[in-house]
Amino acid sequence: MTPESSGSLLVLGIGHRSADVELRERYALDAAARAALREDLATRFGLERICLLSTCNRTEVCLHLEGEAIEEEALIALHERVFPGLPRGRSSYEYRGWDAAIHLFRLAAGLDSMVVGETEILGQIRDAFDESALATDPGRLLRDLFRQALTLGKRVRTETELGRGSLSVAAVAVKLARKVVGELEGKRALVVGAGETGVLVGRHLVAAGVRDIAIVNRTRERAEEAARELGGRAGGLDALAAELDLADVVVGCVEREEPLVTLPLVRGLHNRTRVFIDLSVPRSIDPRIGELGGVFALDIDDIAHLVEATVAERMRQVGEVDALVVAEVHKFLALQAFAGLTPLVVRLREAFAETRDEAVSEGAVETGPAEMLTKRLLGAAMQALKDASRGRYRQDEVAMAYETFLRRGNDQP
Amino acid sequence: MTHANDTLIVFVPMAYLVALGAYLVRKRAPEALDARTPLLATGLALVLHGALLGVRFAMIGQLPWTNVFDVLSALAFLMTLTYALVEAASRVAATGPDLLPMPFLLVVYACAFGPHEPLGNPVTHTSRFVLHTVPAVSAVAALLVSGLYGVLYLRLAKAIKRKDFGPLFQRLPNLEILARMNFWAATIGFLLVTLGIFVGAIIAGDISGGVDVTNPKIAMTYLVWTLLLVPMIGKLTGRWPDRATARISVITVGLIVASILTATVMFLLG
Repeated sequence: MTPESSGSLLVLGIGHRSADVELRERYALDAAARAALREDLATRFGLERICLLSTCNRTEVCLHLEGEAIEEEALIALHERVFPGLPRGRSSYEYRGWDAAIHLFRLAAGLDSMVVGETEILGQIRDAFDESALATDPGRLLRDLFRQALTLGKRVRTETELGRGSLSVAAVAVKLARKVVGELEGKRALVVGAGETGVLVGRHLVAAGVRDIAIVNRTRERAEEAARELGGRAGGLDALAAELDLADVVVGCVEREEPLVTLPLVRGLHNRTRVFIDLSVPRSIDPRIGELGGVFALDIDDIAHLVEATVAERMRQVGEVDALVVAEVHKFLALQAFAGLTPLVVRLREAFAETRDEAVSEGAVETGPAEMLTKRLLGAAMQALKDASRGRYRQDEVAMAYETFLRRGNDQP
Repeated sequence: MTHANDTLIVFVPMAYLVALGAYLVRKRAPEALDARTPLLATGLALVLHGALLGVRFAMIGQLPWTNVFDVLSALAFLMTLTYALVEAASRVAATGPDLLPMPFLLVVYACAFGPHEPLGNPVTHTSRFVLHTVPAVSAVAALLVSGLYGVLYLRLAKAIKRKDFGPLFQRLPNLEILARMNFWAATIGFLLVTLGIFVGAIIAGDISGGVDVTNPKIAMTYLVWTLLLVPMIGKLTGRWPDRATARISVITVGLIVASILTATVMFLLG
């Protein structure tokens, strides 16, 4: 892999820094869409080393392009397949080679999150990779890249101040709810959607002291499972209207093309102050309900605005994390350089074994000492190769590439 | 006494200025002042103001609100006292910079333009008058505080609706607290207005055989009472929106200010 744009790693994406929520929801990929895209990339473009990441804040395709660099026409077609109708470079971004690795490492470190340092992104990256690995073999490069990115993410949260008392989108949503309806003790909450985010928000609401929590979900069984964990009530979508009427705080965390919480539905509720926070992309709560008196409707982008102050505070810790990212990128590049020497390592092993066997058969040396000597010589050779790989890229060279990456503005088209 | 009056009439506005300044400094640079300093400064202003009212009471032997200016001074005192009690109870100091400018302006206005020496008035010396004016002036103070909290509620609600998470959003307490403060102050104001109207009706019956509802001040008072009755009943039914209470309390402040300005003009015209 080289620092130049023709590198074998490619990331195509849109994220919260480059695209607003309307655009992100248009290009969000649910499980079925991800499977279809994966199949299409394999059949139309011959791309199998891929990983798809789709969260409320970003949709990204990470590719390992085997062989030569992808041709411009193919890249245009690929972009059109992933983001149909979106002009390339407008609201979308592309990273190649080192930049792609830097981007993914920053993502795992939480530097690119809406709430800098939040931890949810780590789980999302892990899930995205696991899903891709189940579908196709992502290959050694992507495996190394994701494994090292996840390791870096954990290190950042445990070794730096950035992760201490970290705020998640769910925690910020609860804070926002408090600003409208006050302390949550004695209040009623409704979570629409029993997925991972829904349960996470539910935990924060329960921790904040809500008196009563209800979870409604298309699949009632999942709602019941979540309700058991949260100590709340469960219901299917048929219970939505009744639960909405009881709730002071409503949080939407459900993947759905059309809003579930609609204007007519909310208009029919009893008059009281309510806050609706939509964490879904596409949105599950019709934003027009905010025009109704006593109704406060906020979405994932509003959460982003709210956390700007928090982000500013956390940005003070970013320098320390940047240094960690640079070190990890350097380590990754050295690993890849060493991996490129695999055929040489195999040949060396074979040559050492042949020489040892010959010396033993000629009676020049006994088997035990011969094996020990071979092992030691091979170990020394491997170490020399590793050192050479590590020295292939200087850390200051990586740091410079990182600076350039930051100057260009990450996630900006 | 006169010397104390002369001194305090200068120092009381200055003490209010210091208290307001402390809140504004804390608002801009929280680390520059201890968190308790603004409330302590407010307490000092209240002590000095209380001393001024006491001195003026001693000078004329009756409650020192025989004219509009002294009534405004007493209003400022009661508003500030209400605010200080609310802050001490709720431990929410964020609304100080929004609440205290009004009493500060009232104090400056009263001390700068009002009669330097308190004037006695035999009409206002009676115990019935005291029974009427104490709740009436206290009610106005409570309703002004309620109105100011109403304004803060409506501004914050508008900011959230517009998704403006700027300084106002960061600084003010949550909507629920503002709604509660707004409603408590309105309730106290409503009860005091009710008492003032009741005693006033008895006085009017004795003096002129009945209440003259064509008197603009009395008509305004009845209108304020009727307006406040709506959220009181609404809250009892449990389905009354906070924003409606906030709006009504802002309207009542408008009516009260109009009433005060009318009374001032009438006083100045003799």
